[in-house]
Amino acid sequence: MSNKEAEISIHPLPVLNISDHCTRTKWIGGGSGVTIGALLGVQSGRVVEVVNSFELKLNGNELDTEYLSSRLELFKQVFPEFELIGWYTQGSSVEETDTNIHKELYKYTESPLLLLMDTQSTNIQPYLSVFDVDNIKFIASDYSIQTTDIERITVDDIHKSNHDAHSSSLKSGLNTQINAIKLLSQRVDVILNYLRKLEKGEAARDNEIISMIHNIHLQLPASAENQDFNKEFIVESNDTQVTTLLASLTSSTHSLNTLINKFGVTNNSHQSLEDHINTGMTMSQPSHQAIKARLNRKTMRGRP
Amino acid sequence: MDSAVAMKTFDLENDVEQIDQVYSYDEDAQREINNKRPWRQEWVVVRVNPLLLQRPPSPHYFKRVKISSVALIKMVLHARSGVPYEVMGLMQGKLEGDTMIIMDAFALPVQGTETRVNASNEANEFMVNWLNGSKSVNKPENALGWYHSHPGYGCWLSGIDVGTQSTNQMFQDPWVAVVIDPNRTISAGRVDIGAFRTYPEGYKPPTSTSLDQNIPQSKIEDFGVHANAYYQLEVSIFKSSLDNKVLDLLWSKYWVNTLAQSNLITNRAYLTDQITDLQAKLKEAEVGLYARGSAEKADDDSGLAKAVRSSNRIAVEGQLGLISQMAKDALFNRKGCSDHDHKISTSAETVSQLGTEPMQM
Repeated sequence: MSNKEAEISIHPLPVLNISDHCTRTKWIGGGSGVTIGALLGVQSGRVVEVVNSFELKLNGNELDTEYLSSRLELFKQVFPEFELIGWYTQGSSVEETDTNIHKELYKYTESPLLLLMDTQSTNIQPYLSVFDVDNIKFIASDYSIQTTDIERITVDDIHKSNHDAHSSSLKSGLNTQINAIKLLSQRVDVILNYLRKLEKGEAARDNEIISMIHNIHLQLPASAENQDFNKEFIVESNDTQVTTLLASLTSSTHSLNTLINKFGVTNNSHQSLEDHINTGMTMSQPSHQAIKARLNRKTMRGRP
Repeated sequence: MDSAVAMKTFDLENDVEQIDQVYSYDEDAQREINNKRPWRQEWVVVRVNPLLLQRPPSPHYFKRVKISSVALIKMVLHARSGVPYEVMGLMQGKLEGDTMIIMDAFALPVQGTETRVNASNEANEFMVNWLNGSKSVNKPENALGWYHSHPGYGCWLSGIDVGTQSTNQMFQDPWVAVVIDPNRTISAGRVDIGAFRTYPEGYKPPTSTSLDQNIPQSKIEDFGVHANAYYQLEVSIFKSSLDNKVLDLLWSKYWVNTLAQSNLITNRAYLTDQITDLQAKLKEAEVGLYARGSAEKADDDSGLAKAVRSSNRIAVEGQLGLISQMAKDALFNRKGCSDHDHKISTSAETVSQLGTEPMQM
């Protein structure tokens, strides 16, 4: 971290909300007008967490504070735990006009945060503000993206947008895994390339980096030698397999039940013998197949 | 970047709408649709003119719901923040043919158990204030529906929900109800969401539309009584091109989480709940089997069939968790071990078989 002043973490919701706001300005506002909004979140000491955001408007060149206050009050009714911690706008660097708006925000919070969204290069950059004599200085700051489980799942879903009811959960589950593993492999490649170049003498030797790489290497295999982990893992996977076995047994029971029902129907009907056999055959055929298929599957699963 | 390419082809295959056009708003066109009320006409005509009774009425005029990325994440997070209580909010949007487009959503200061999720006067005032404020910041869309959460018991409308929705459809149609289950979203690893509209009073749907839902035994009665009073709309998600770029940015920052956690462990409590519920269903199915012969239900509606659906769902979720564990084991613990590939593919096969089974029967 280059900046030790504060730790800023941003959740996906404000980022998507700002993106939505920019798109709206383009399509509904006719491209003119500025995109500004308030950032909500939690601040404790040096740790700032940006959790939510909402749109703001200008009154001429000045911030419409009346609007800000009324919106903030509405937000507080639903999310009382969030404070106003800053504001965002669209752009690549801090402009003169931004300073005026920034000053207004000192009425609401001690040290407002400014978040710039650059729609050209798609970059977000938070700025901390510092009073310097009678001028405000903006300092670019590092940030991290913070996600909870539910945010990750939702963002994944939006990313994939495969929300029709028929797409299989297997496909979406595997895809997430594959994408993550691909990115991991890219990063491993970076390390590998560096080491190769080092070997050939093309890259400068940095002992700190080498010791970090060594540390990663020492961690592998991650838990293969740990008996407790192995035991836990085997128990967990056996449990899951048993659940699956029980599920297929339930399925088989259902198929059998269906079959018996159908036999019952055919036996009770007073048709000619031939009809009887025909209907009996055609009706029970699918169930037979289902059971056979399942038996095959089970023998397959029995094999290691 | 390799993953970017893979993601692009995947998006194309899945027919993602990236057209930003959808973000524009034509006030006159929307007003005209609202004046014409195409969703009402067919039903009204059929009722007034008995000669037209031959033609089947079409109370499901609206068939699809499109939800913007930002509306989805707002609703899901709000639903999650309310657990274990139900929360509700409103959605803003517009119409396009038989599609309802949800552009944005906002939370209402209402919280409660199932019986109490109902907008009060206070909430109404909040609603009006909010909508007025939205119009001045390039959010001209009118309220188009409401959403609420069903933490842990799936997406469907309860008796009270049906009442609320049909009242709203009577007085401020077009109106749609969206239900989100934050607990199942976590356990299944995908957003559990459903959109519903009720049928006009007195209308009987030709076939009972059975939702492929895993409904807890304790709620099944409430579900069964009202299941024929409404229908489900197809839900899809759309995003802007800027959203897409931003999502790439986000993904490159948090992909580690996908590898760093195990669903098998985070969902233990939920899994136990599910198995307890399955046990109750099996017990009921057993009782049902003794009564064989007397007025049998359709095969896919019997107690046993429901138990099969529930157990398959549990097994599939378990296998998915196991697959990711095995993949990690192969990545970080073994060196070039082909045995794992085999295990994973067997698991994957099991999932696809279990996943399709209910349809075969």
